[in-house]
Amino acid sequence: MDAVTYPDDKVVDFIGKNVVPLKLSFDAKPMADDYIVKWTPTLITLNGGGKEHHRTVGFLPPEELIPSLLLGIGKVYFDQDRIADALKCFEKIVKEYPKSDSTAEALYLKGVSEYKKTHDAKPLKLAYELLQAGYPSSVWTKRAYPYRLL
Amino acid sequence: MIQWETDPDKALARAGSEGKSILLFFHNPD
Repeated sequence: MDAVTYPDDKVVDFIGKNVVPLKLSFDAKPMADDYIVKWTPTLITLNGGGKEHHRTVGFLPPEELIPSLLLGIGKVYFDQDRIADALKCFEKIVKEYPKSDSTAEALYLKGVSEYKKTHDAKPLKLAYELLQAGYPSSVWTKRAYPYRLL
Repeated sequence: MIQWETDPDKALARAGSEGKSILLFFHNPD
């Protein structure tokens, strides 16, 4: 990560504008124990109070790190019921990073967020249809499977 | 270059005042 991903200009710009970056050794006490860190690199998105909302383990190239961070930020908003802010993050992932490993989950959460916002089930069904069409082997397509009946 | 915080308390204070999430990166320095 230090050699490839973090020096990338787009990553530097994204992190500088959107998150507070905190770097700790895997054995830093008490944080490594508090967050049950067993392998590196481990990247965790926390809210301003230190609660975990998203985690990845293992190397991420620049084109995967940015959508993964957007997903984490979106999940912080989603968990805080800031649905409009969450939707902006999920929509940005779907639009700008359609091939990333974070996109299927973002598409799923976009449908859920739109449902929460409107109480209309159509976005859930649309989410399933888009997942089935674009990400047929994703776990998120399986999780959205019941929505095909809506 | 990313300006990493290394003090958790400082990162939490910044996140609160700036209204941002925290990217917590655990690495192996060796």
